[in-house]
Order: sequence, then C-alpha cells, then structure tokens
Amino acid sequence: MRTYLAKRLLMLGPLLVGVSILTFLMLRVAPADAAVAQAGLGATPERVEQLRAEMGLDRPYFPISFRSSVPFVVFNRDDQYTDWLFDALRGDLGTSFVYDAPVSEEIADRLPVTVELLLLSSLFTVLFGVPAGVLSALRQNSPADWLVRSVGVFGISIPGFWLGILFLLFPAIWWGWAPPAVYEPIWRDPVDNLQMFLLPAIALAAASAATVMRLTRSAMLDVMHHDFVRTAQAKGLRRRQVVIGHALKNALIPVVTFVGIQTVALISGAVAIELVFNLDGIGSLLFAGVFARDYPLVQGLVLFIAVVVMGMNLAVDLLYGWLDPRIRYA
Amino acid sequence: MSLTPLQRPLSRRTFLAASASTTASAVLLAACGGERAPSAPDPDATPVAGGTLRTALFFDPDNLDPVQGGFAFPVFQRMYGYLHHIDGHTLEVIPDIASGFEQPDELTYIFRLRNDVHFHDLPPVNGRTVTADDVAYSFSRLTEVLNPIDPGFMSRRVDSVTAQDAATLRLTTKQPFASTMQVLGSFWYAVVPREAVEAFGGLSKQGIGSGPFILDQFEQEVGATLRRNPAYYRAGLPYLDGIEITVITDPNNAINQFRARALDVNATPLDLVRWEGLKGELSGVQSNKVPGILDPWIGVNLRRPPFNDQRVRTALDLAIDRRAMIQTLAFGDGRLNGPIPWGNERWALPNDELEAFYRHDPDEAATLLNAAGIESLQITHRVTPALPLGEEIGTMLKEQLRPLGINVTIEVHEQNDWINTVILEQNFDTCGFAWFPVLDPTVSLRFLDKDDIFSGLMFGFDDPEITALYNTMQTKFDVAERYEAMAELQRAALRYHGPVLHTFDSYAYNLWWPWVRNWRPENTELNFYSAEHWLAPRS
Repeated sequence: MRTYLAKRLLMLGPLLVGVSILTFLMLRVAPADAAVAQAGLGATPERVEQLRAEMGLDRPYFPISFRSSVPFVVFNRDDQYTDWLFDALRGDLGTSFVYDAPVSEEIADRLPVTVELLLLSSLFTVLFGVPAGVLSALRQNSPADWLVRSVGVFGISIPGFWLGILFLLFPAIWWGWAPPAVYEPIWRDPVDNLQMFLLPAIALAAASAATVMRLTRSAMLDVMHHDFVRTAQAKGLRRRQVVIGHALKNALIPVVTFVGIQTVALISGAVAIELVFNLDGIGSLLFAGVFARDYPLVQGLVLFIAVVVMGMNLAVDLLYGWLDPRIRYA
Repeated sequence: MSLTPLQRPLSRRTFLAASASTTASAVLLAACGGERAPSAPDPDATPVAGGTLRTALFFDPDNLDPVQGGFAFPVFQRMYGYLHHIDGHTLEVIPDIASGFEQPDELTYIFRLRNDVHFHDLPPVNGRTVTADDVAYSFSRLTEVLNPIDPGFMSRRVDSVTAQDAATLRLTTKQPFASTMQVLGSFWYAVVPREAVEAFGGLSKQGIGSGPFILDQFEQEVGATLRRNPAYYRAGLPYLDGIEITVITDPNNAINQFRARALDVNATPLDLVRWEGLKGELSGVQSNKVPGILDPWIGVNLRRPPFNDQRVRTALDLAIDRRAMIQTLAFGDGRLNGPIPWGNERWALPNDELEAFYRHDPDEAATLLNAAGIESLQITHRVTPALPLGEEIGTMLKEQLRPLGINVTIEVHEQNDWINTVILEQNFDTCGFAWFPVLDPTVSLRFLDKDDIFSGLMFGFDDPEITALYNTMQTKFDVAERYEAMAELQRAALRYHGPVLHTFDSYAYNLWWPWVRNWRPENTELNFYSAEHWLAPRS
C-alpha cells in the first residue's frame, strides 16, 4: 500500500509537468496572443509588438528550440516556460493580465463558490441517485421502475445548462422568484447562500444523479441474485436488513468510486452552470481567462485543476481498495 | 497589467451589452424623435430621499478608469464630475464642474470652474476642492493612453490645456474643431485627482471623483456599490442613498431577476419579439421604445482590387437589400442607417433621404459590374461573433449577391483571431463590423477621416476630398451650418460607397418598475450622470 502510494505520488510530478507543457503550448498556438487581446480594436501592429515585449511574450517559449538548419538545437536563456515553472514551484502562479492580481489570490477568491457547487451537486447526486436506483431495482419492471428509468433518461439527455435556464425561467414566471444574483458565503447568510446554490447544484447534478441511479440499479440487481443475499434471506432477516445491510453495501462499491470520479467530472459542467447562474467560481474564471488569452491565469488554473483531479483520482483508488478488501495494490 | 474594455477584444455578449448601453448615447441624441412614449407614473410627485436602486449590467465593467474604460461607464459616470455634459436633444451645455465657458476665438476655450466642488472625502484627497489643475491633468492622461472610442482628440486636435488659476482652465485646439464641447462632455473626460491615480497605481479598480456617488466597493465580474456623496455640490442631491450594480452576464438571468423584482431596472434593452412576449406578463412595468441599439455595417477593404473601383462598391451597395435585412433581422422594427446612425437623429440624415438613396437595384448593379469588367467575383467576408449581427448580415449578403455571380464565402473568426489576422493584417475583402454610436456624432464619422487609425489603417481609406469635408465640418461652429456640413459629408460618403456600407439599426425596449422615478432610459448616458432618480415605496 505504501509502495503504491509512493509510486502514485512520484508519478504526479511528471504528469503535472506534462499538463503544464501542454497547456502552455496550446495557449501559445491558439490564434492571437495576449498582446492582441490586450491591445484590442484600434491598436496598430507596432503597439501590439510593444505590448508583446512588455509582457515578455517575445521571448522563446521553451529552454530548447529546434531548427531546420545548423545548429539544429538551440538552448535559450530567459525562456517563458522555465520562468513560469520555477515561479510555480515556489508557489507563485504569476499575475493575471486581466485582473491585475496574483493568480493564486484569484483562485482562492473563486474557489469557495465552485467547491460549494460541487459538494452540493455531489450530495444531490447521491441523495437522488442511490435511493432511486435501489427503488428501481427492488421494483424491477414495475411502474415505479419505469418512471425512475424514464426520469433517468431525461436527466442524462438534457444538458445541465439548458436545465439551468429552465430552472431560472419558470420560478420567475410562476412565482416571481429568482435566485439571488450576488454571492453570500454560507457562514454569513445561509438562507441566501442556499437559495443561490440550490438550483445550479440540481441542474449540475441531474446527469450524474441519473447515471448513479442506473449504476445502482444494475449493481443492486446483480447483487440481489448472489448467494450471500439468498443466505441472508434464508436466515430470516428482514427485507430492510437484507437490502441495506447486505445488498446495498456491496452494490455501492462501484457507485462510490463513480461518485468520486464524477465529482471531478462535474468541474467541466460547472463552467457552463456558473455562467448561467451568475456564479463567480473557477469555471467562469477559466472562461474569462481563455477569452482574454490570460496566460498566467489559465496556466495556473489548469495546473490547479490538474492537481485536484489527480488528488481525487488517487483518493478514489485508495478508497476503492479500502471498501473492497479483495483489491490488492501492486 | 489590466485590460481596458475597449482595448481588448469584445465578447459578443459584451459588445451587445455595450452597444445597448451606448445606444445610450445614440439614443440620447435620438430622443428628439417622437416615437418613444416614456411613461412616468406620477410626474408631479415630490421626490423622496433614500433607498437603494438595484440595477444590473450584463457585461463586465472590468476597468473603472475613465480614460481607458468604456463598458464601465454606468459605474464611473456616477462617481466622477465632468466639466459639463451636453444634452443630446437640444445640444444645450449642462454645467457641472465648469459654471460657464467662453470662446474668445475659434481655437480657444476658457472654462470658469465652480469653487464648491470637492472630491469625495476619502484618502488621499480627503475632500479637497477640485481645481483647474485637476482638469488639465485628467485630460492630459488621454494623450498617454489609447482610448479606441476617442478619435484622438487630445493627441491630434488639442494644442494645450493649462490651468490659468485654480478656477480657470484654458484649452486651445490646433485647428478649429467644432466638436470640442461635445467631446469634452463625453464620458471618458472625467475629472480625477492626480493623488488618487498615483496612490492607487491607476484607477482601474478604485476611484475618487466629485460626482453624486462615492464608490464603496467594486469587484470585477461581480459589481459595484455606490453610496450617496453627502458633500455633493448640488444641495439635497442625490436623492438615493445608494446604488447596487450587479454584473449578470446572462441576459436571461437578468430579465428573470427583473421579473422577480430583485432588480428595479432591467438593464438589458429588449428587441421587439422579446418585448412583445413579456409585456403581457409584467403587469405595471414602465417601458419606453428607443432607437438605435446596434450599428452593424459591412467594412470594405479599399486596398484590394476590385474594391478600389467605385463602380464595384456601388454595385455592392445596390445589390444589398437593407429592407429585407430589417424585416429578417430586426423583425421589421428598425430603420436604415447612414454614416451617422439614425438613433443619433440630431445629426443623422433624414430617413426619407436614406430611403431614396438606398435603392435595391440588382440590374443596375449587374450593369456596373459589367462596366468594371467583372464577370464573376469571389468575396471573403470575415466576421466574428464578438460583433453583433456580423454572421447574420453576412449570410443575407451572400444570398443577395449570388444572383450577380458574386460568391461570398463567410469566414467566422474567434474575436482575438479576427483582430489579429483580419483587422491588423487587413486580411479581408469585406468584414462584418459595428460601431458604438456615442454622444459626439463625429465619432461615427471617423471612418471618413483618412488620418484616423480605423479608416486609414484598417480599411485603406485615403480620399482627400471626403477628409477635407470632414475637416471643413469641424470648422462650422454654427449648429445649422454644422448640420449642413455634416449632411454634405455623409452624402459624399454614401456616394463613395466605402469604406463602410451601412445597414440598419433596430429599436430597443427599456423596462423599469414604477417605483423608480425620474428614470429616462432614452437618455441613458445622461441618466447615469443624474443625481435626480428617486424611489417611491416598492410594491
């Protein structure tokens, strides 16, 4: 276990460097650079060049460049990537072009919004998905099963942002109610905060809750036919004890790992949901950064998200082994 | 390093929003039209002090510095004092910091400043009196920063701005420039204290002015809160205790907030179809109809043959069916645009004249193309979703030009790519463009000044006669003469058929709840300066 953990942690370094190189390169090869974005309409090419120099974008990208003629390899000093990487290793993700503030501060400012959205979405995923899946499995082929499965298909099929728009529209038309547009932290105003996050969290959770429902249903159907369940029933245990104490406990193993991974996947869905619901989280920050070619911001955010995703994946893998003793780490 | 809204690429939403707001300005001039019917629930009611107005912006006011900013003007106009404002309908000078001015000759303007105007009582200025030095300093900042809305007034037209004493400012222009008073009334000519600029390292995030409201809090992409300036020089004003401005970038969310009465004013002007859909539902809502929300047009690259041939440009103009565009893209709820958008009615060419000029005559277009030796033509029309209606107009253009044997290929570019590879490299035959109609009509005419960066650099416009007309127009201080000179310039531009082929503007519909009093969205730009809004009890 320790060896496995050490191996996984050692792999994080090269993976993060790889992610950072890819992000760095993709931003640079995207049409138009940060200088163009900053100069905007009405700027002359000379002004753009001047800005490029001021922003350090006229320097080589990487410490090594390849050429088609002799010398084929050129070693660069003062390249952009190495500077950024060493700063990042020291915990300095740079200064955002758009916000004129340290990237780490911007991330810290926006993080609570996205974390709360993801936590609530995960909570709804489990609260809706697991009971519905169990119900559907226990009442297989009944009207309740058909209803739950139909709702599941609906949840998977409807994009979260579209559901979000509907969630905004109908309460406003029917009851003259709209969620607050200004973020209040939960410790300052829990009612306002929950009003703000309830609908986006449900919209974001719809697809994953439906998937969890289907996963739970199939796992439960599978487990319910296992010998140990039959044995439990034969021993005269009450149905609730059999279902919750024996069947569900085993059926949940794949579900738990899925929920862990799905929480990571929700980050991408959060971008659109944050825009629709006016939530100033990591997603909307990334969106603004990409549009403005804010290199430090996007690089810092992607690195941060990569660390979170890798950390979550590792946690899920470890959890899986803990839940299922048959799993052995090599 | 911070971006200035108009220096950086515009998202479509941002542009739409800004257009909507700056319609503001168009509209401000346009208000002389008789088509709006603003409804004031109780015009004779006595203003009540107090309350906080809740409004929204559906674009990010990402830079509060007036010399750099544009999109933030609904926030910063309320904070800053100006020498004066100009009533777009009457052209009357509305004094602000300057109690009066005189113009001893065509080049010289002497402004007398009030001595009771103070900056907000915040460090580092701590409520000191606004002086002529502050005004001179504020204007000089415009020579150091590129403000794309401003056609280079301070750098190209002004000879000097000096404080003769604490209460007297002298401004001289290099040549007679009749737009001077109007330019100085523009929202980017705010008066700022030097100490604040130096202490804050610029005014992009903070600001201290002498206007009716003090900035309490500003957070990019979140919004701003302003509170009443108790030392405002106009006694008893402002009526409001404060203003909350929330950034809601999704227009649907904004309208839902308004619908739920979480906003007092709907900050998103609506088109006809949306307004028709909403008006039955929103009982008691106040509304008005204003012209000119967008000014989308087709730019022509005059450097590229055959577009340097006036016969070809004329043929294009004749082949474009603008009325069909109005029907399709504005639901029939719009009007033809000349060089000055019709929303700027004080200076725009009369609609009858535009109706007569814009003939849709494909046969004559074909004859002209034949005369120019064009049998078939391939046009690459480059657009970006960041600018409104570019792709839609391009699609109609493609259909309308096809019968003439002109094949239009529409290429859609991401906004930064469009600026970089299309505009800066002048890599287009035609392009979808749009411009902000603002208070000063000559901002719309800058494309007819060959020395202007947009017309010269981007479109290769180099016509000395039209530029001479532009310069002549700026020597006409008499309003009637100026109108005639401006009309002559516009007619010449229409006959030249470039570098801009104008299209149309639609109407916009503004909404606000009846408890918001003295709210006149047709004067949006002036409205933001106003300290006279007030709130009746909310119902």
